[in-house]
This record gives sequence, C-alpha cells and structure tokens, in this order.
Amino acid sequence: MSKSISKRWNRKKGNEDQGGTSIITFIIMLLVALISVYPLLWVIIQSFKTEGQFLQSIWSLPTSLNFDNFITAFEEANLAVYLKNTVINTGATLVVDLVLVTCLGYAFSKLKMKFKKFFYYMILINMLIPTPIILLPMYLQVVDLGIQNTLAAIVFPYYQGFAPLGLILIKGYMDNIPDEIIESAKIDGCGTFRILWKIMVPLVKPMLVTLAILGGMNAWNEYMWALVSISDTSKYTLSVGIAVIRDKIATIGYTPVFAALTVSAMVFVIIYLFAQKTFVRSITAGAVKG
Amino acid sequence: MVKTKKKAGLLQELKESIPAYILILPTIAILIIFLFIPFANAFRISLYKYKGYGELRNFVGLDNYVKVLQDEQFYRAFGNTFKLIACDLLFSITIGFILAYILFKGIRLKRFFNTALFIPYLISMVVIGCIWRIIYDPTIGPLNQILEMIGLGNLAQPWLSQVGTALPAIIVTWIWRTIPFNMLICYANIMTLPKDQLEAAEMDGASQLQRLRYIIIPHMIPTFVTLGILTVTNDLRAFDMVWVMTQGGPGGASDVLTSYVYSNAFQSQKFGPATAASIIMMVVMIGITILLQVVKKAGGKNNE
Repeated sequence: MSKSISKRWNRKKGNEDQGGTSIITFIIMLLVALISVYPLLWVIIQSFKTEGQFLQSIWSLPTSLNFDNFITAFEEANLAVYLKNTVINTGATLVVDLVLVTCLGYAFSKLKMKFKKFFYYMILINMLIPTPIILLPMYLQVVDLGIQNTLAAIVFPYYQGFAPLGLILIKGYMDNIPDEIIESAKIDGCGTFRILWKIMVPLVKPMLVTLAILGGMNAWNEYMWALVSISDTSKYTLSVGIAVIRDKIATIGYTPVFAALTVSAMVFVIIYLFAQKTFVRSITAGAVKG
Repeated sequence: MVKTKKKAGLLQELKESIPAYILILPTIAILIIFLFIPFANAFRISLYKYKGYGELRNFVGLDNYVKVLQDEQFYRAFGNTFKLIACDLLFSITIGFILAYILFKGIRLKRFFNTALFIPYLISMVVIGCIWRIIYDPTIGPLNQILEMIGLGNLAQPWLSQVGTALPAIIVTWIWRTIPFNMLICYANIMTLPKDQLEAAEMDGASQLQRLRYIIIPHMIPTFVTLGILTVTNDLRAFDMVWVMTQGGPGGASDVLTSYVYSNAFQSQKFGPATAASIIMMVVMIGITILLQVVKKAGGKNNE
C-alpha cells in the first residue's frame, strides 16, 4: 500500500491533466517552493564566499568556488570530529536497532510465547513516557554504570526510544508472511534461529531498509540526550557540535559556520535525492503506524 | 490432580516459549536498565530536594509538585506549548493539505515541486534552528534586509530577543518545518480516493469546490485526525529548535514545557521540581492521548 503511494509520488508524469491548475496557483506554488528551498540555498551560497564578501552583501554570489570555509569548519571548528562521532554513533545504533528489532518482530509475530501481550505492552508503553522525565535519572544511571561518554551510553538509550515503533512496523510486516513458509522449513529440519536468519531476514529486507532510514534519522539528529549525557567535547555529536560551532561566530567568522551548516543539512537531502522512493515509503510507513 | 496438570501445562508452555524469550531478552534488559529503573527513580527524585549528585537525603514530600504548580513560568511554558500546538494544527495541516491537493490535481513541474517542497523536512531541527536564528538576526539577517528592501524597514526588529516576537518567530519556523510532512501524508491519502467516485461527481456536474467539499475532504478526515494526533504528541516534546533558537528566552518568553524542564534541571540544578514538572507533563500527555484516541474512535464510527 505505502509502496504504491511512493510510486505515485515519484511518478514522472501524473496521468492527471498537467494544466489542471491556473497560472495564479502555479505562481503561488513557485513562491512556496522558493520559501521552502531558499533558506538552505542561501546558507550554501554563503558558505562559498569569503567573510569579506559576506559582510559586504548577504545577497551577492560567490565570485569563485572557495572551499576555505569548509577547511576552517572541519579543522579549526572540529566539524570533522563531530561528523566522525555521529557516523560511529549512528552506525552502531543502526546495528543494534535492526538486529534487536528483527528478533522482537520474529518472536512476537511467529513464535509461541507465554505472556506475549504483557511483554508487548511492556515495550510499547515507552511511547507514553516523555523523554524529559527520564533524562536526569537515565543520566545518573549512565554515570553509575561508568559508561558516560562511551558508545553504550548513546546506543542503548537510542534503541530504547526506537524499539516501540520498530516493533510495531516489523511485526506488522512479518504478520503478512504466511506461516506455511516457516512450517515447511521446520519440516526440513531448520531450527528457530536458522529460520530467522535464513528465511525471515531476506523476506523482510524492504522493511529493514525502512527501519534503517527511520532509526538512522533518529540517531543522526538526536539532540537532547546527547546534550545532557556527553561531557567530553571530543565525543560531541553533530547536533551538539553544530550549536557549539554556531556560538563561535565571533572567533571564526560567519562563513565557516555556514559551511558547517551546509554539511550538516545536506546529508539527508542528498540521501533523499538519490533514494526518493525508499525515503518517502519509509516516512509514510513510520507516520501511519506511529 | 487437575492442579498438577495445569502446572505442567504452564511449565510446558514456558518451555516452548524459551526461543521467544531468548530473542526478546536483550531488549527487555535494555528497557529495564535504560527506561524502567530511571522511570521509577524519577518518581523518587520528584519527592526530594536534589542537586543532581550524591544520595537522595532531603525528603520533601509533594513540595516539588506544589512549587511547580505555583510557578507562573510553568503555566507560561504550558501556554506557549499549546499556542505552538494550536498554530501547528491550524496552519501546518491546512497548508499541507492545500499543497497536497494542488499536486494531486496536477501541476506543471510536478516532480520539481514534490522535491522542493519536501526539503525542510530533511534538515534536522537543530540545524534549522541555527539557520533561522541567522535569518532572524537583526543586522545580517535576510529577513530584516528584505523588509528594508521592500520599504517595510520600520518592521525590521530583533525578532528573537523581544518578548513579543520570540515565540511567534519560533512558531513560524516550526510550521515551515512541519508542513512538508503533513503534505506528504495528505498526498499519500488523497491518492487512495477512488477515481470513479470523482469522475461520477464530475459527470453529475459537481463543481470543483463541491467535489472538494463533499468528496475529498470527507475522505480525508481520518487522515486529518491521525495527523492531529501526531502533531500534538510531537509538539508536546518540542525542544531542539526552541533550545537552539532562544533557550526559552528572552526571560522565559518562549519557554515550552520541555525547555522549562530542561533549564530547571540542568541550568538551575532544581532537579526535584524539574522532575515533578516532567511527571505532570506526562500525566497531561497521557490524558490528551487517551482523549484523542476516544475522539478518533468516535470519528471513525461516524464515518462508517
């Protein structure tokens, strides 16, 4: 269902009449598109200008492609460190997200489990608990466990937040896979875990991509927990780091900040431009079920 | 005899559940350590005077809750959060739907619009906050410069550092970011409308507005309800953008619930009241969620 929607969204030529709208609507749409895109475009343009050019006029175009601002941002403003940390955090979170959520989906969808309802709601109840409540106690917990500033202190809390949506989505997907496939594999002598790995995982691959996009966006963009829990500036994520860089305008100037903002903003824009279909499908799925 | 049989049955069932239990064990363990224990501790902390380190010693009972409920700033943050939700519900969903409808009807350069209109949703709240903080900047900010260019220079002002304009400025940015999402979901659902129904109406001579009024909008009501629920739950948690743009300032004028909790806890070290406030916030959230589910069910029935 969501697949066909994303297909329509991406179809090059709709079969609706293309001139169905008046010229006024078209101009209004152009204006709306301009408002949507221009802030980012403006930031990108500034990031190629020199500080002097920028201060002279914020509307001028760069005279040449100058990458100095990016170099300043990456080296002096630690953007490279923040980026690296975020890549590692997101990668590790995704591994945990996907492996554990697949296990959950299989257990809840296909296996016999006593007290299934109880455990199911035990995981879903998380949706009703706003993060600010557990912010401080979770921080104290992380300090108690001695894992502050480590990968574990990021990955597990992120997985904790992702598990309910992940479970709902993958369970729904697995529920549609006929039990006969599993039964026949059992007859062939496959064990539970072998079936999971050899049969279920390949079958749910499209859903794993969806989950990777949703979980990846969560982990990449998360701000509040990173802000609270990371005290070591060399472990800062992009979200926390970009705010730090922004506050450095007085020392490094505006244009390197624009370069840093460009890099941070473009990551998902680029992924979207290359995988529009998958992206739209994922976000639609995440919304309808969430 | 019967009893032992039952017992054996339960044991048997538990035994058969072992593979499932093994699969869910890591998740349950993570939830216990990183959700349930902290959650239980939150209730304890809310009953103490606590500076954020050391043992919980200074038991104050419900004092923290009383303090929060007597704090004017708490109600201000509450009010601001609801202003954000109200504006988001009203403008973001409406504009999102109108854009989706125009795309549905067909427009030249449709593919371009699909992509361009979706861009704001792809940028994180933190980065958007940083970008718009510069846009609102009183001196180098494009907004004031545009106002001056078109002869409205007297409207130019320090948007984010004035009590009257900080929150509206944030809300505008917020809506700018949420429209694409609402548009996408509206578009996805408008597309599920049976084509023959529209064609039949057209043949009966229904005007465009009539079709919109009697066919499309009724078809979209469940979508609007879903988007409404998502908007409310999402906006109640609003933090990133507000924190990056104003930190709830100036003087708490743009505080929302989450930034109120955050600044009380991590800036003023008033962890007891902050935690109490977050628990009150949760109760409100659960109340609203239940209410919305009831409304959704009732709406669903009316539709059938």
